[in-house]
Amino acid sequence: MLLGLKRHYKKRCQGRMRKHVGDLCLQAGMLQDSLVHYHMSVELLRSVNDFLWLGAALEGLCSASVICHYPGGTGGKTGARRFQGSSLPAEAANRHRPGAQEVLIDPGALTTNGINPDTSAEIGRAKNCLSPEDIIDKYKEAISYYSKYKNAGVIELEACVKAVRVLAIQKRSMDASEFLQNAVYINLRQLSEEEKIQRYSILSELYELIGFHRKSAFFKRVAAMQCVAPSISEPGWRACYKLLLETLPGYSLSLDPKDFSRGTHRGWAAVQMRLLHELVYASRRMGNPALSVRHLSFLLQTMLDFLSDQEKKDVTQSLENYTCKCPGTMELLTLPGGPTLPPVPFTKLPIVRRVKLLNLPASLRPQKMKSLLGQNVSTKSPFIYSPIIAHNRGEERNKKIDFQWVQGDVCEVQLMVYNPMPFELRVENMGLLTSGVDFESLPAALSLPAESGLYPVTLVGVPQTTGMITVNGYHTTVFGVFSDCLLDNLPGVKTSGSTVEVIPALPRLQISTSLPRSAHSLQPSSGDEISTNVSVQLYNGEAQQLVIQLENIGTEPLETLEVTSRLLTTKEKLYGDFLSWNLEETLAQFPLQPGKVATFVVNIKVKLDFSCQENLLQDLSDDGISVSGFPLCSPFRQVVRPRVESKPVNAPEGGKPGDPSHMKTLEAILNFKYSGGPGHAEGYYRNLSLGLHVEAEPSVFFTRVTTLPATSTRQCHLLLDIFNSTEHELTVSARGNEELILHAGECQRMAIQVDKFSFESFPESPGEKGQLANPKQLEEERQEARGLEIDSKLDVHWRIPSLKRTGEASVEGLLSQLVLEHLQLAPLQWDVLVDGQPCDCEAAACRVGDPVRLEVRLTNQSPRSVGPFALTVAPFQDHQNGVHNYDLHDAVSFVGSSTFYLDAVQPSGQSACLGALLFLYTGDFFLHIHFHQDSASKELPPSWFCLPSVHVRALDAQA
Amino acid sequence: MAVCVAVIAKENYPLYIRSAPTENELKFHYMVHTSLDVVDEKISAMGKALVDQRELYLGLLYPTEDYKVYGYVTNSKVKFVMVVDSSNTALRDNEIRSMFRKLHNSYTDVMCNPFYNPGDRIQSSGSDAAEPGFPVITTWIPTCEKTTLPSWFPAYAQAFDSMVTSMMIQVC
Repeated sequence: MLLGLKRHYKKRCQGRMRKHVGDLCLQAGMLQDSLVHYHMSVELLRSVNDFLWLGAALEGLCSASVICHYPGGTGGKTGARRFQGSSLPAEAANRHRPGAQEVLIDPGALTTNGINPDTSAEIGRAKNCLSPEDIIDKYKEAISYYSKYKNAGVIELEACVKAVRVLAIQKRSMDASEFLQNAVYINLRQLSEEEKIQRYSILSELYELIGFHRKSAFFKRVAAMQCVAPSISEPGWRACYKLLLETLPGYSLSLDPKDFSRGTHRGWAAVQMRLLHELVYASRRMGNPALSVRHLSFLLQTMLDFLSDQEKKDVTQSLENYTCKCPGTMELLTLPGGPTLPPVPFTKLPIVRRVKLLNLPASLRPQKMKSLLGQNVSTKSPFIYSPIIAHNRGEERNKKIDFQWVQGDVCEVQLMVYNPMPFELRVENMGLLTSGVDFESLPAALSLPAESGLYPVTLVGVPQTTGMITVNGYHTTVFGVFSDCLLDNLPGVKTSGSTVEVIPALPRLQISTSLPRSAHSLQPSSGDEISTNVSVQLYNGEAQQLVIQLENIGTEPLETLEVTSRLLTTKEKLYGDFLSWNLEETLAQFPLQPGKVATFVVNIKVKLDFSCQENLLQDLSDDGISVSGFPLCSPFRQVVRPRVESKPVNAPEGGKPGDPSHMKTLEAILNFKYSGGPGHAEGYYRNLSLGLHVEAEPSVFFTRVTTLPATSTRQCHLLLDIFNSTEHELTVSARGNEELILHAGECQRMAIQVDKFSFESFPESPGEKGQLANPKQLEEERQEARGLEIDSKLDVHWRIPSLKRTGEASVEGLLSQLVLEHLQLAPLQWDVLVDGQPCDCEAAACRVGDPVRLEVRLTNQSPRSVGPFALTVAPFQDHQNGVHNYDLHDAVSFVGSSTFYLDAVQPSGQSACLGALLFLYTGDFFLHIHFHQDSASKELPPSWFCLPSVHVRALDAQA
Repeated sequence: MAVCVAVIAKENYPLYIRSAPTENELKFHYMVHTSLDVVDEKISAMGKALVDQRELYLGLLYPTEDYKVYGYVTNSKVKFVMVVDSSNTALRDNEIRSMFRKLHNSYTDVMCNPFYNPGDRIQSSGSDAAEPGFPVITTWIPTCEKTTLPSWFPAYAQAFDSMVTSMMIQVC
């Protein structure tokens, strides 16, 4: 029994001795010997169940075998350096446990190249060396023996670590992870805080080694937390922060916001958010507020979708607290370790959906002079026009927009934004980021309601130089963090181009008028945008002056001005010039320096045809007086007879004067093209439009126009039925006639004696015009011209004394062909000469008994030859009671024939025939010269054969 | 019983994660996240096996003191991870296997839904059932319009969700 015990003891001693010798051999570099000793030691100790030493011997065997197999060492270079760097705590641990000293072979020593593979290594591998599989088995065995002892935790841990390193070389990650898993649960008591940190760091490092990055990150984070454990008197925030940074790759988190800009975030949001919160906290405790602001902004920017409403509030609250002391910037932050933290622009606060560069308002929009031909034709194509456009795909964002901005003018960019936050978002200092041109951005501050829908925001600025300007993005200040958001980095932003040309400065014109501004807005047609509208109410025929003040409110002198007008399509027929002006007086004040004012006068004249209103015509044209071509030999008379039934127009069917249905509107646009300054030199101008809205009310109009022949063939009477459609009493006067007073709604007839017109004298170029315009148009034109002449001759004016307004009345629209024919001087001009004196309306005097020479002369002004004609002279006496006495054979006798014959007359020819009369008694005689029915050409209008009736007064021979 | 069920996309981000004790959710997030290391390792190890012979069930990923983590990977590399209370010894491997198969079938149903965008989070938008902090964001519905989602829209996710719930309750 004792012997057994003794033998047992002896074996234990031998075994332990062998193990010790093995250690020494290994240390001395005698690999082969150490292997032998370890083998023997294992044999001896296994038999005596000396488990701790058996474990140590197995471990020694493994170590020696590892040196054999992997002479390069198990730890990587970085691992070696780490161990040396942190050798101090390891040594401290050794000091605590002297017994473990021989086991704790510094792995750093193994990694150094001091132990070179010598020849013995080759032998050892062949003989006593364990196979790679066996190494792991033996490690397992050793660890299981160690685990029997509570105090051997450190040794067990070391063995695990070493086994993992070997497995890492063998690329057996799964087995390695089992060892590590075991190592995690090894209960080490009395560990100092520093040791705890070290333990977790090494665990993390080992996991890294076997490619378990997530596990590695997990333990690194635990190590970081350990650095600042509440039990530590001086928390190592700096170390914690550094370790936390190292965990980032494990959680696939990069601190560059650009990596998050593509679509929705995909990752372990909850875990990543936790990490970011820890980074924020650590950096704050480190005393680096700039870092915490950066991390917090990053958290808010990238994890916004994952934050709950309450979290959003909390994060922004703390961000605001931090930025009070240290505002967020757009600079790169350099971390102590060397890497840099890129800036975090808040592209989601607010979220921008659309960016649109706005054109200048229509009145300020620059336009290119047409004269510079070929400007638009790009140099890309040799063709003047080609349907094939040179497409540049992929350049959509940078494509140029086809309008221009003007230097010195406020230009606008519209953003559609929305606020994703559950509370009101205050965005300050929001402005544009541009390149290419000096741009003075005028920042705006806005406040977006909680979770707003799309919200338009207009950012403005003034380009200071010329060239191509590109809007790259915008800058904001939100929660005290400055952000420069570049459009290129924004996902899902719609933009229709961000480059626009800035052209040199142009003057700015402001218009003010003497007329009141109008609420009417003209229909926007053909792209005209009207800046100002004025309206005026006029009676038909009335004229008004529109005084326009042109003020140069820009900074450049106004050099040129062109005025054009355009009547908006109206069905109304308009007579005469609606708008007329004289630009010279205004231009005399040019160039207009900034701040100066020039005036410009436009005359507005309304001449519309109101007579076509049917209900009025029906009322008023019931007393038909047919126009007969018969010459009435009544004396000159002025027919101003009140109409029998001069009923005021009170028809209930809307015939009331002043009724809107009677009003007609005219709309016109006055265009002011102006330019000046450097922009003018570049060929740009601006266009300002003034809308003119004129309401025309009927004043007087002619319900009917008829003619009566006058006594002279050169004259005739024009009978005008004048109707006063206003609500006021008005007076009408024609040239040389007295005034006619018309009450409201009254109709009266006015007769005016007029000279006939020879319209042929009008400038007519039938040759050219006839070919170009169609005959109908030509006829219309001609009629208009005639009307104009008639108007100017008649010169009919009306006046409303109560309103002190005057105007013209025009007959143009009413002139029928028939009336015109009567008013026209016939092309065949008949003259009757009595005693060589032309006799027209005045009575020719002659003596009884003396033969009176009678000459009928025909001047042909028509373009064809006429005749021959036969004329018969029939004398008669007018009894002034409607009875004409033709039975004058006793009183008048002819010398020669009473019939005259005229030969055919060539165009512009003249012909005459002579005869003589002998009056036997005194008295007033009339001569009615008429054509023989057969000889008068039927095809010629009857008015051409209108001969004056000759009045001869035969006097006593003595008298 | 399962205490946590997670569906992980091919690119290793969570499509769905839900845990039974909601008070310490983060712990399970960490647990599932770190288990992916093992999943990756196992997948790379069996990468050479023929596709039809491949076992989808990965088995126990790693045991911890309180929990066991099991894994399952589909042919399209979508991973299912289940955390099971280790005190529950009644659970056999076969039961775990059948639970994974059910989960796989439900996931297939989700994928069949034409309104589901592969790669998006699986979530029932019913406000109480939804994970906090997982807003409805799909590529074709802007965030600002999320209130206008039709009521039938999350139907696929609700079925999946209730299936997971049943798995969590089942063995309790």
